[in-house]
Amino acid sequence: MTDKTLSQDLICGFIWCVALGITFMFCWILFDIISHGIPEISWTFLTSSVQQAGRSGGIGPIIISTLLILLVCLCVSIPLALATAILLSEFSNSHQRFTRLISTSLEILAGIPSIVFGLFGNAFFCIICGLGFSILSGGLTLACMVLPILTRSIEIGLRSVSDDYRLAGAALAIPRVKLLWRIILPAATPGLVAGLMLGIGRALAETAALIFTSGYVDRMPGSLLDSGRALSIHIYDLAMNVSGGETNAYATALILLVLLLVINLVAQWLSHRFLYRKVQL
Amino acid sequence: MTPLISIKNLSISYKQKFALQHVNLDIFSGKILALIGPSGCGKTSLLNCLNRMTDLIPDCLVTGSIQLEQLELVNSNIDVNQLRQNVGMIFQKPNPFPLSIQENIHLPLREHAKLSKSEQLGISEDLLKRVGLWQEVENRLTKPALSLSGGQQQRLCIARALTLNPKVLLMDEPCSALDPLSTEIIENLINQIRHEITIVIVTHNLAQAKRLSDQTAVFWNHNQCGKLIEHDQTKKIFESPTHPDTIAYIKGLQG
Repeated sequence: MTDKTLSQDLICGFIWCVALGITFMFCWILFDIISHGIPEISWTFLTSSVQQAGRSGGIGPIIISTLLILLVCLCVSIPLALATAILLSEFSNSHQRFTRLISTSLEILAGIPSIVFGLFGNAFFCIICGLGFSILSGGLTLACMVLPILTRSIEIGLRSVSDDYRLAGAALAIPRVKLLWRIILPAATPGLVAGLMLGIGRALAETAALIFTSGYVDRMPGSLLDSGRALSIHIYDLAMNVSGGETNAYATALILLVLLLVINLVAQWLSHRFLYRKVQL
Repeated sequence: MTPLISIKNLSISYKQKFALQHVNLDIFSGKILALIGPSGCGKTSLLNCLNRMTDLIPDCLVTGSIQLEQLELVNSNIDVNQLRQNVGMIFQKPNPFPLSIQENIHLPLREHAKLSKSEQLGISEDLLKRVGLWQEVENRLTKPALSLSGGQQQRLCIARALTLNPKVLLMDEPCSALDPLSTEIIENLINQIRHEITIVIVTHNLAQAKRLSDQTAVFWNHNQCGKLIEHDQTKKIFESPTHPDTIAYIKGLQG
């Protein structure tokens, strides 16, 4: 009897340790970045241009470049991912060869290292399509990279919506597209947003795929065809190649985290405003 | 009297395994037909053929013939949505949409007719009164349908099915997920609408079949395949059944 309670206590303690360990690690990273980064943050840092390879000045152009790359990436990948996920979950069954082919392709695509995407993007978008080192090339390369994650998570979100609604819709002779738009998509909103955040997180964190495609240039981009440096590349450059750049690297990392948080909140707000509000779960 | 629906030599198989074989059955207008029998003998499969919900099941093969007023339903190139407007369906588990109570009625209504907002409100009030839900939900029409109790949800689903003015209503164990009180309310509701609409109801509750139905069809499992073993007036099935399996089933000895 006492043996049993002892082993239960041990297991329980172990689980608590693991949970606390994870929380501690997260807080440590956060504390490290915030404590080193916050003294550098100011309005000028956010808006002014890069000077002395980043040792002084701000990160204004970097933030703009990052947002533009992300915008290109999402404008291309969201419609494609949404359409593919809808095809896979609503308009085909998993026995079909075609469906299996798409699923397998997506799984393989998800496993490809990002540096390979970078090389592909450089060869295809920069050279063959003639876009050169540009924000457009970088965004399109990122779109290829986040497509599998985005598609898979949207598909899972759609599949998690109860089949009862699909049966009810069919029995009431409501067209499938109407049902999808009015019931299934809105009910799947939490899943869709979670997938979107995973995709955006991966895109914002990317350096390898962008070095070869959107390039290094730290000036303010004039158009989508200009080269632009993303935040993650700036951090990498400051930390590895620029002596005395560590403090600004920390400050940039902090901005990256804040940006992720802001995008998360905006995505949640938008999806609730336009989609989730349509159902009453 | 010519039947409304005439089923001839109907067989249903899933992945080449028969669920139901050689069914011949007539369904008459304005009557209630109860389908009874143990689980897995093809009652729900038969119901799903009557509004072509079988189309949604992969690897489901239907052979034979079902005629609804001269319209052939099996494997024919008919407008399935038109058919489902004429043949409504109530499911075992109440499945209102995750919308407000009144939007559950308005959604199918708008889909099939052009109506103004006030007309929609008028029709939904009528329908909710017909299923006896009006007094309970009058003050909370814009509240979520999923906040209703199971029995209320099922009545809302019946009201929703009635929006399309179907000729036939298929009910797949509509009370099996409900408590006895809610069941009684649903049965009273069925009794109210029985003269306006033809009802086919699958039930495991023999007493319910006896109380409600005009005709009863008894299904049984022979060699892992569903068969229709006996069908007749409900009174006759319960008082003087002929098939030995029916006799045992009615007496509660088997099944």
